[in-house]
Amino acid sequence: MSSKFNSNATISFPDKSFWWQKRLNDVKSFFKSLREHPSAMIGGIIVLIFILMAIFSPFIIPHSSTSGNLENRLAPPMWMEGGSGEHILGTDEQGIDILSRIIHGSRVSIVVGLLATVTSVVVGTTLGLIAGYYRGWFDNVVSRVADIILAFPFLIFAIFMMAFLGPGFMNLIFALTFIGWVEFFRLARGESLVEHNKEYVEAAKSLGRRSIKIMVDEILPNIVQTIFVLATLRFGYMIIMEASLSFLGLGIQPPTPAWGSMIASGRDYMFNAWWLSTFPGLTLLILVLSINLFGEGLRDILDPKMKGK
Amino acid sequence: MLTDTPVVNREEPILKLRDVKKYYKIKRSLLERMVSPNKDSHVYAVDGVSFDVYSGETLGLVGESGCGKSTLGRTIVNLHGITEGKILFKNQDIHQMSTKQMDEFRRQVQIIFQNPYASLNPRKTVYEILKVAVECRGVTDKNAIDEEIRQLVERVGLSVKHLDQYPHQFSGGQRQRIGIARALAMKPRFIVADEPVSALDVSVQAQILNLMEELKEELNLTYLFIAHDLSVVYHVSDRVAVMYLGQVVELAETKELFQNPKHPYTKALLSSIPSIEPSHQRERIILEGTVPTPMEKQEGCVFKNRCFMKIGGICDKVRPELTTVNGHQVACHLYRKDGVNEKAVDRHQLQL
Amino acid sequence: MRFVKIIERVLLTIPIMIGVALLVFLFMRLTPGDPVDMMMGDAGNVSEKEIEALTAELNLDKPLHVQLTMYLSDLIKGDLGESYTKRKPVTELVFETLPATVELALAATFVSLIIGIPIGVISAVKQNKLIDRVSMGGSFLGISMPPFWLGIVLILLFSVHFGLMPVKGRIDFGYQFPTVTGLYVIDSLLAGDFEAFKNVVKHLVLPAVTLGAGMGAIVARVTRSSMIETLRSDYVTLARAKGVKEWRVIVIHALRNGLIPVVTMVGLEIGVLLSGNMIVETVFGWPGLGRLAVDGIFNRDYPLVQGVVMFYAFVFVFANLIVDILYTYLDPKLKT
Ligand SMILES: Nc1ncnc2c1ncn2[C@@H]1O[C@H](COP(=O)(O)OP(=O)(O)OP(=O)(O)O)[C@@H](O)[C@H]1O
Ligand SMILES: [Mg+2]
Repeated sequence: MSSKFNSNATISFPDKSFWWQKRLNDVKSFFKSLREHPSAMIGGIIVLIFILMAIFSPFIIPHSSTSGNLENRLAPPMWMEGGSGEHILGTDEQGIDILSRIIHGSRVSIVVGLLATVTSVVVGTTLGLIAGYYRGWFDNVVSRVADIILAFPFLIFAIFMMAFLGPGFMNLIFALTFIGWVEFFRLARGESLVEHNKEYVEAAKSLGRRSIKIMVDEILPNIVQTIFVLATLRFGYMIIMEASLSFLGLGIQPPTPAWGSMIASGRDYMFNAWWLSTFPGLTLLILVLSINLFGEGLRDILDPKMKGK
Repeated sequence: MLTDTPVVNREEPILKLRDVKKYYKIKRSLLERMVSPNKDSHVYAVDGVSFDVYSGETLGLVGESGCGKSTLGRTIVNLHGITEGKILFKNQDIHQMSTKQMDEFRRQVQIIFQNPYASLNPRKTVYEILKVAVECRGVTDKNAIDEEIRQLVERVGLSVKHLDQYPHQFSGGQRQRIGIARALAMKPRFIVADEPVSALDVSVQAQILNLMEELKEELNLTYLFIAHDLSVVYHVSDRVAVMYLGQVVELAETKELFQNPKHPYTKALLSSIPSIEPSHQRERIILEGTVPTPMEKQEGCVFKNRCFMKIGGICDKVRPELTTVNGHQVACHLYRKDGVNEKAVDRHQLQL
Repeated sequence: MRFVKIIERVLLTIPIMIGVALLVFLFMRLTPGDPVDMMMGDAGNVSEKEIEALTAELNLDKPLHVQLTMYLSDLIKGDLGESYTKRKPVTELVFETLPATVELALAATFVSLIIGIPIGVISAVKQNKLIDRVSMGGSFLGISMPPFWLGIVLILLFSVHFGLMPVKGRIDFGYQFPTVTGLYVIDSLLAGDFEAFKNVVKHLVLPAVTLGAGMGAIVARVTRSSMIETLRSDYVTLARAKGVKEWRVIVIHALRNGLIPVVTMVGLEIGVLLSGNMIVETVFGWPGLGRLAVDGIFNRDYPLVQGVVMFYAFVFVFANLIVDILYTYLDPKLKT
């Protein structure tokens, strides 16, 4: 026995702040490895800027994003002939400042994308954990439902649902979640099945831990990283889905600014005002690109076994 | 029954197994089920095991890989259900227990796992792993928990500075120590040790075995010690049970079993390790054939197709019961109570 | 064993198909609002009688389970109902517009392969060199690109700015040739009308590039990683050792095996292709299935929408089935 310990008061036990310390260390080491993935870091910073932009959009928009001066409609961007520094990216068919609309529109993209992803993660992971843990009839039923939903191409089913539900914020979240949970369910179920057969779960059972505790406190921490990586990548996808639906007129309706509907309404002025569709789309591309860059970096850092998948 | 060792209380068994069976159902595909809907196939992992474990003893359980040792161990600590039979802990059927009784059972009966790499949650520190265990026993006071954790880690030969480390930062031996500490946190009476050292280096094995021996004496524990390494079993066990294809074929005092094996399978098994009992050098018996798949229900004796002492048709048809012969419990038709086959035994022993 | 697996896989599609039909049915019925109200909503003053007639026509006056059985038995007969606005069976409408969609999908697949495979191969050969990084960056861009916006940018550039391509449609007014396959590219060639062919191709290029870009990006990535693997394998080393020329090694020996994952991937991406075509057909005014569905949505033509979605799902399930079967043949691990 190596009992060289003498009741020395200097050795302190981890106390309640311990959990936070651990998380803090996790975050620190994460940022350390992030520095080795510069593209992921840049992506992350841009995403962060977009999120801040969405939060503070009412304070930073240079003009109103919902009303404009009709006399100054279809004004070109400032660097073109006839453009002015007043409207950096020009104005739309109603004379509304495009930059303001884009900044304000980031709210819809970020909020819908985030909310749809979060609800999908929560629903999918919960069902997946339970199905993988208990298997049996519950697993069978949910898995079959998942199969059926996967029989539809994602966007088509979303379009179909929105056609019946009608446009609107809540319906949008509902439709995207209705399809989005499936992937998280499959992932969580698979991982939960694997983890369930590991001996640490049996050890927890033999300690008499309750099933719910085992799922939440033992299994979940082991799969949360994989799920987080997938969630990041799906966040970008959800944003494209929202924009696609809004583009078709099935998502967020004008006058609320949304990039998808801005691109759609700009199509009518393609021949004389190219900037109407171009800038919202470019912003969308930059955001999605940054999210994907960040997600891929995250995957390399957190989940090396998924690399190259 | 056997009642002649002074160390162990042979009056009342702490654990009784009665004809325990555990079959795993094999998942069949859709088509197979449609073709033959009522023929389910099974793995007969444990197929009718009965024995007693006495308070304070170490019962060794040996057998080849896949013979159902782990399954039996897991069944005893109630990690999964049972197909048939009864398991009584302190005379209480563990499958009839109320939730409260089950919690108490969990407290008293613990398990140490075969694989120290998989048996610790990789996302938890040693502190967290042990804290959960202590809390599961019902301790809620933070200081009491910490004090107990300190004692535990020190008792198993680790130190407080290891507490905020993760399992992957330890060696195999250290992890097994953590596993032992976790089991001890429940203050158990009975521990199923499922090949606790088979994944470790030989040099580390002895340390862990010594630790377990010390703990047993200190805390008055009872062990069911599962292993496939006969020399390990020889050194730690008071009695040894030999398992083959889901069944216990022989059970006896350690010395007696190693010196004087009765079951043909045990004989063959022991002949492969001449070093343990130098005075009883045996000729090596090489078994022919292979272990049958556990997916077929065996009729008659499980060992019949490889037995070199087979006496005839009875082995193919009748399953031999575990009966007491000269202080051994053995399941073999050679040793039927009526003594009919004594001659056959003698003949075989002469040949050997 | 493999045969059993395939049979099982085929059988498994049956409950999924039934599930798909049930889900669509449930959606139609559980949606808030009476379908009749919704259909007549825009029509202004409608009489009681007309409402009753429509209700009876849609069988909405019968109990739910009767509706369901009628609906399912219609489906088995291949009857997807009747379009409310076009007064035609949905099946007929689907088959009228299908060739346009197929033509676009094939062209997009073609585009994605001729962009994706060479880029993937070059990237694999010049792994971690500048050209690899640039092309992988490009493919990353392609994956993140919203297709509807790409379409608009292409129109702005090539149609509006340079005036090289038409803005929308499948063919300009005035060309005529007999319909044989329904694919204009082939039909115009069969008719020997080279002018018409040129016009058709011009119309096809931008939508095909738009639809194929994202897939091309994925093809490039998959080709790259599978080529990297095959270029390291024994038989390629052997070929090199025998003194086979490097380009022959790459093209003949490695590419043949390196493309297996690409084939299955293309099959799996058919869902993306189908989804994308709804958007791309809208952007380019392409008279295909996607346009039909989107028009149906805005005309509140629910039988039409529902029928087209069901059709999409069937095609998707069927495509996945084919891919899985192909996969059991191609995957060396499953050879038992
Ligand atoms: N969950 C399960 N489902 C189906 N079969 C199982 C399951 N667990 C174990 N088996 C089978 O039951 C039999 C006994 O397995 P078990 O793990 O108990 O053997 P063991 O004696 O512990 O072997 P080892 O020495 O390798 O640990 C084996 O044939 C095994 O394949
Ligand atoms: Mg085992």
